Parts: sequence; structure tokens; C-alpha cells
Amino acid sequence: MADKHLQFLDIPRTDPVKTPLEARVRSFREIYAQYDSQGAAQQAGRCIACGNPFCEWKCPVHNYIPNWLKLIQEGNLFEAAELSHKTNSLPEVCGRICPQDRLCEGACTLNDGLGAVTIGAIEKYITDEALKRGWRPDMSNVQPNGKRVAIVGAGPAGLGCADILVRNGVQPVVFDRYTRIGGLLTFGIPPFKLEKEVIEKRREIMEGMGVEFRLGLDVGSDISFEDLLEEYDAVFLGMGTYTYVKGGFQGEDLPGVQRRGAHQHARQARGRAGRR
Amino acid sequence: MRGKRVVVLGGGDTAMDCNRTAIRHGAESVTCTYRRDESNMPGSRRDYKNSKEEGVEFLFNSQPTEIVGSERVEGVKLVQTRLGAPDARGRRIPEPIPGSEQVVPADAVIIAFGFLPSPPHWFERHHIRLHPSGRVRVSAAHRTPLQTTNPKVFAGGDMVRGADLVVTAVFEGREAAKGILNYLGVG
Repeated sequence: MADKHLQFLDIPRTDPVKTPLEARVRSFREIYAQYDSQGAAQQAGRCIACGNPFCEWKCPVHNYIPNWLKLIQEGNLFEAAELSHKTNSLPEVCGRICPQDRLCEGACTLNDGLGAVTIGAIEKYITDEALKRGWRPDMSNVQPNGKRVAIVGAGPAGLGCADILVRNGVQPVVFDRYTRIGGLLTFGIPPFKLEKEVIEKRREIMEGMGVEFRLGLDVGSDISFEDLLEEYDAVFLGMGTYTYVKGGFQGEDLPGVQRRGAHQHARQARGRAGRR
Repeated sequence: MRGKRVVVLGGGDTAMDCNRTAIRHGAESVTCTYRRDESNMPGSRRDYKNSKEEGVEFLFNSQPTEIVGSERVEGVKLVQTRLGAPDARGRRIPEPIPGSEQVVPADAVIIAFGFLPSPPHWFERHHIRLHPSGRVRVSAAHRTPLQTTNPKVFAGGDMVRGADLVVTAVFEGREAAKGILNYLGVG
């Protein structure tokens, strides 16, 4: 490579390999393979460090995208993982399921005919690969301050809240009515986009950071909200939305009509894993 | 789903997930209907592309008016639409074209029009106030963002914003945590 700033001219945008169609439509596994370290470095190196990180501004959590792309290009995987976690509690999830085409990648300067940097796939690579190689979030400077916060709902909002609290010395205790964490990530999004093991891994990481999960408990019936208010210094509610939008036309209740979504997957999961 | 003709109603991310799940369950055919045109469909482009690759057929500018059948589902009556004047949010409203109805045969229909808030009844007792839509009211104060009308209680994600992206829920959870740290005096 003569000039690494011009790498985008020699190396085209290359998404991770997809499972061939015939196998894909018979499987519930994720369809995208992972980059190897060389592939990730090459794709990350396509970033031209344009100086106007629109990608970063367009990202709802304002990830330091050009910075961790540079770290990956240089092979500093663990530093990239640490930086990626500074702004995002679930980067391996967002890398998989964010609509990058209308967020970071849509805003990439190279998206004008040259092919945006594969930001989502690299974001996924960073955390998946770092965790695989033993990286864990650095909690060495955290001093517990004795405060305890109850979090109702182990979905993305609750997990994001728990992440920041525990990194600031507060003990988060996360309640969820299901026996697995993730909320819609587990019971709504299908496994061919987000395998369940990804969320299980995240649970292990968060427990390692000191987050406590109390699962299979419905706040309001198994535990009263009064008790939470009394026992904890504050409460966070991240309970999602669960009312189906109706069509408002005839025949909606005929046998054979389903309203697919969270509850459907929850039923399937209960059928497989059992529940209280 | 195996061997069935499946019709999915809706054009968002949930609809795309339903499409591709039905394919994997062995549906004979999967047809997805959306009331606006292709470029206005809200579902992720990547999922739309993958749906098409995997064999989903799309009917755009098609709005369901009835699910037909006597004992069980036999089909979906769809009316053609054209895009009219923009609504308050600037999205053009689909207008039905009179006389354009047709029935698409179906053995199974999946309605994927999205989700609305579902606040539990005990919020009121604890002074957690709602918007008329059912979304939780929160503060926009700089130091205590996402604090509800009960000062000890914060909220975030879909129950505050309405159904939205995972990444925005993560963001709100993190912002609320910063508010909680300030509220507790440990920020």
C-alpha cells in the first residue's frame, strides 16, 4: 500500500461472508461470518479519517468510530474493545442489528459511490473477538459507594443503565419476568440475526462486573413495587412496549391470524427452556 | 408454517423478522404487504435485501382492508394505494384507490404493525405519570434526565420513546444512569 490514506481505492468494501442461500433458509443460525484479524484490519483501514466524523454524530450513542477503526487497523484489539465500551453497553449487539445503512454507514464519507466502511461488522468483530481472547471490561478503578439501584427489565435500556451504574460504584440489581436477560433481544429478535449465545455471554460479562440479575420475577405480582422503592436508593424502569397495534379491519381474530412478536418468541422460549 | 402460504402485513423490522422466520419454518410462500412504496418502507435495508434473497415476495402500495375466510383464514383483501399529502411528520399518507381491491390467498396471516406502550396499573399509585399515548413522562433536566414524576424513579427505552431501535434504548438507559448518579449525589 503506497499511502494508507488511499487504501479505500485499492480495497473495496467487503462485507463478511454470508451463509449460502440454500443452507441459510434451513437454519436459524446467524448468516454472517466473522472477519479474521487481517480482514478486519483491511476493512478498518479503509476509513479515510475524514475529519468530519458524521458517522459518530449519526450514531445514537456517538461511538468513537474513527478512533476504534484506527486501533483495529493497527491491531490493538483490546484497546479498541475498551474504547468501544466507553460509549456503548452492547456493541456486539448493535454491530449485528443496528440499521447501519441509515446511521453510521449512511453518514460515512465513502458512502458516496466508494462503499461505506463496514462499521457495523467491525464493531461486532471487536467485541466478539476481544471476549474470545479473554478481554474483560476494566473495573480496576471502581470504588463501591454503597448505593443500590433496582432496574426493572433486563432489555437494552436496563442493561445500558446497569452498565453505567456498576462502573460508577453503584450496585445494580436487575429484575426481569423472564428467566433469561435481553428482553426483546432474546424474545423478539430472531436468532438468525442475533444468536442467543451472544446475550448469554453478555450476561456472564455483566455478572463479572458486579451486576446482579434476579430473573423469573414479575415486579407488580411476584415482588411489589413498594418493596423496591423501600429497599433501593432509586429505581429504573425499562419495561418496553408490549401492546400489539391492531389492524382495525374485519377478520383479525380468525383462526390462522397471528400477531407475531415478543410474546410469540417468549412462548417458544418457555416451551424450550421451561419457566417457573 | 410448513407448506403454508403466509402473508405478513407490515413493512417494519418486525415484519422482516416474521418474513424470514416463516421462510425458515418451511412456508410454501411468504408475501409481505406494505401500504407505502419501497423507498418509504421503514424496515432495515439489509433485512429487506436478505428477505428478498431468501424468497419473500413484496407487495408495495397495498393496504389490507379485511382478512377473509369463513372457518379460518383464506386470504387477505388488499386495496392499492397512492401516496398523497404529507402528514404532520412529513410522511406522505397512503390513499386507497377505489375499486382496486384484490384478494391474495393465504393459509396464515401475520400482523406486524408494531407495538404500543403497555404501562402497568400500579404506575398511578406511585405517581408515575403518563402521556396520553401511554408513554412514561420524563424530565429533560440537564442533571437528572429521564427522571419520572416520582423523583426516585427513572425510566428509558421504548416505554418512554415508543417502539424504537435497540441502540436508542441503550442510550436512554445510560443517560438515565447518569441522572440516577446525580440524584444519588455520587455522580
